[in-house]
Amino acid sequence: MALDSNPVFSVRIEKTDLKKFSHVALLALLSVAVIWALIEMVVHFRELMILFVLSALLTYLLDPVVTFLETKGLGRTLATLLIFLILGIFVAWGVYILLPKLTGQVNAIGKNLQNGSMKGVFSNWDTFLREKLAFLGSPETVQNIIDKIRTALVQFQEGLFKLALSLFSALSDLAIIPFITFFLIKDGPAMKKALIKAVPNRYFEMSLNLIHKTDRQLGHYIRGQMIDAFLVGVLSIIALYILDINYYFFIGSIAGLANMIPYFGPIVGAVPAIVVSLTQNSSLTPVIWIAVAFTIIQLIDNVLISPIVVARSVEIHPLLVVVVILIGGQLMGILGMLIAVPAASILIVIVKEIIFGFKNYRILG
Amino acid sequence: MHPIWSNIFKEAKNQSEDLYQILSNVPIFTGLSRRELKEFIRICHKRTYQQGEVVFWKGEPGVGMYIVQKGKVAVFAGEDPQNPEIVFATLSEGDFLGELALLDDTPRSASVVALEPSKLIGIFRPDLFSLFERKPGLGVKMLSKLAQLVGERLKFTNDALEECRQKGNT
Repeated sequence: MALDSNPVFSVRIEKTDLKKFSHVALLALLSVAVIWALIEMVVHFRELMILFVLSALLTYLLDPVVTFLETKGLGRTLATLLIFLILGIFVAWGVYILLPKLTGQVNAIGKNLQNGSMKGVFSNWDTFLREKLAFLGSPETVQNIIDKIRTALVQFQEGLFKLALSLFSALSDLAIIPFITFFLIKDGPAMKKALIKAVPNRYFEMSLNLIHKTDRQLGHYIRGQMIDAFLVGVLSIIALYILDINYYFFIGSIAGLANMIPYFGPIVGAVPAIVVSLTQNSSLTPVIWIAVAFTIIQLIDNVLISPIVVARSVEIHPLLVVVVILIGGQLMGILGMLIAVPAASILIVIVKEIIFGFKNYRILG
Repeated sequence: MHPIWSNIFKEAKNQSEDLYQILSNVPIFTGLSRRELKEFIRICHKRTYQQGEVVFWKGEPGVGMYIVQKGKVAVFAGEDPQNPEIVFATLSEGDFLGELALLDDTPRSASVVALEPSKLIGIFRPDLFSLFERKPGLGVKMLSKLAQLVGERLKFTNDALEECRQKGNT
């Protein structure tokens, strides 16, 4: 007799299936609720989320240093305090040395926009473009193109100035970041433990694995990306200084930061330098040199820096990378674009671990 | 101090004292100072299980070890914890299980179920390795104790195997 022809057995199968189905449905519902809550939080508490994201980035960067000091016999609190003291001295020194340079360059952009010194540049450009675009024939068409380029250049410089100003005005908000970071480093392990405590026994071991792997993956990615951005930033500053481009320090720093955005980053980094060079000189030669310098920096980054420092990160399909960067940009602007790939890599690790959990743990009863 | 706060702190202190007592009696933690044990207490996860609740199933990836703080658990083979095919051991307060999972993630060799409402302390490999990274000296002490324990068990298994062989020959 077939097993399912036995009424008692078939009822048992149906009950088990129903139980499993209800578990899956509950998990799916919970996942949707968590994702929805996260998106709502990003939308409604954007500024707060940005502060927490930046604090988390700093925590991942500093945690290995605290761990190193712990191996030397220091307690976690004392090690964290020491790191903050050293960091405070470095920041104060950096502000003292670098801030005047940075503010000087930002002010210069502002003055250029206000006193109309750009006009001289534009008149040179007018002549240059009129000669080069003469093949178009109609003077109206040439004038139209020149006007459009002029508007785009002014808008770009204004955008650069506004970005710099917004960065300075954000400094007051940023003052809270060290406080959040301090407690994330000092009490991070205890927070993780408290989170795990709330997990039901059935998902306990799987959740431990999940948190551990996500944490490790994210740590590798963030530390790698930050070291990479720093090195690319330094190389860009040196290259722009050698090429005698105005605001080299500010533009080089942007190039370093932008490098954290895959595919779009290097272009975003090079465009400000090219635009500033175009407004600075009427010749195309510096533009070519900038392109060569940024290409060489990208080569050094792709061949030498990235393989060493950005190791063990999740492999994501290039198309998915582009899509998540665009979504990140829509939700949180530039910062969204910066955190899109690590956020996607966390989601991939979570999905992989949940699938691993379904296969290896009896979480469905 | 207000009685409410003093009671809360007293409870936390008592819990920590309980954990200290239990850990200091587990063979892999014997000989460790109070300060060293405190490091392990920090990474302990306290879990509560209902009667009949499965702690882990045979074949699941091992993530760490458990120490029975209160209650009773059974190590068993079979699919139904209510009607196990074989019960290998019954463990109570102070006993520990799954310690080999501290070394690697090989699948659990048997299932474990709570025979009565029980409290278990879990210590897990990632937390432990992170502790060893921070306190390598502590890692050496604990791992040498674990190696000693595994060695003793191997010796015991070899003796039992030899006894079986001899019985088979006669």
